[in-house]
Amino acid sequence: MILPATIHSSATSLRDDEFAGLCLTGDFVRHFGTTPAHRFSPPSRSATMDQCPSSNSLMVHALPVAYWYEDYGIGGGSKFADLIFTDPEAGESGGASVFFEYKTALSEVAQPICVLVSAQHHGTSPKQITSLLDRLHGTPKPDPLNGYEEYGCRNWDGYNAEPITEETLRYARRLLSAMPSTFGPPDIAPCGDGSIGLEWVLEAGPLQKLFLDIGPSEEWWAYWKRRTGEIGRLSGKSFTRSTPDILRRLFDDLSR
Amino acid sequence: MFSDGDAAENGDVWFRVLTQKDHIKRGRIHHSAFTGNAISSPDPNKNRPWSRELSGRLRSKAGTIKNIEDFAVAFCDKLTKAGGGTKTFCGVMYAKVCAIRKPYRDILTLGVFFTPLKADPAHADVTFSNCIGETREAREALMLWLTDQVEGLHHPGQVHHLPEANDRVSG
Repeated sequence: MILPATIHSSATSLRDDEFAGLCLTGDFVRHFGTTPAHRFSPPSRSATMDQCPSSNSLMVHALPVAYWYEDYGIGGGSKFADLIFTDPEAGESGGASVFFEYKTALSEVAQPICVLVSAQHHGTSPKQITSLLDRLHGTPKPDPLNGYEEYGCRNWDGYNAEPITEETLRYARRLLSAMPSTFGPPDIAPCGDGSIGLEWVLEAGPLQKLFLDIGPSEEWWAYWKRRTGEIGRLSGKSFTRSTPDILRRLFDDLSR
Repeated sequence: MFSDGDAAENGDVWFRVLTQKDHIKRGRIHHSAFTGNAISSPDPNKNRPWSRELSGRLRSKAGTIKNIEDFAVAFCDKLTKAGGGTKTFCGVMYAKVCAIRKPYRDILTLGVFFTPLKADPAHADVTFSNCIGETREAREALMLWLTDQVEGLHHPGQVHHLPEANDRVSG
């Protein structure tokens, strides 16, 4: 008997951007939820990722996050069938709010299983999903802002700090996903003004320290001190196609 | 005899209770610890001769390390009860008074003054005289400098490394 295999992820009751955040940071690997009581209405089928209609891809801010397709193999001779549904009532963006994989073995009563998104047959292997997302976005990283929701209230530090809003948090996750690794991972801490502070303090090289504050809202400010004592600054707003390049050029410049 | 508003002695140590674990990184204080209302205007009723202050405590007035830790835990409990989520004593930032009492870029002078409160007889402020520029650029430059002027100790496990005032042995 083939069991409904490895269940390794879920993305339930999430808005598309939050879902994207989880995809991008790898959080999906760590979360597993039970199947909510939704009615499913499968979208049209497609055969391969290349043939995926646009309605079967999740785009968030013009960034492709995931693709999926369906195979109605249940009861038709397949040992496994991956049916990946979206909840049509879940919202815009192709109903990307809730994803389910419906999986069964022939000898068993079909049972729905929450998983993320797979573009492959029998796509419950973590390797398959990981490799897909790796291909799309690079190696997933643990969410460095895990738990930051607790700073969403005023005075979270006891010194009258401003809340870190959901908007700031989403933006920070997005920006962090595009942050160059030139100087390694940043030290991250919540700021009393409702922003999120990143800093790199380096033992050697031309750069002594780089601070980068994200928020409040969709703005960032980088400021740094070179070992020569020279101070510089750069800022940006929102997240556009050029944002990763701007950050990369900044880090490249500071490393020289 | 020390009075409210007196300058701290050079041999003393100023420290501030931290409630956010990420504000200390490998013995350094993260610049986030200075943001928001951390550096604020003094009480206008007190007519202080400085324009901004960062509140904390004086080592010489705070008692033993156990006294300091007990105070910090009680302080966090009190803050927690005041709302805004649980506050936990995560450590301290500190600086020797003689080391932090210095000018910054010829536009700002830092000092440490004894400013006791009913709730904290050891209360003291790092003070900023003249003016801190109100522009974001000025604040950023100050952050880059200020983070080099203080050090951090985690709790639990490190606060016993907090230096004594005048190198006296704590009781």
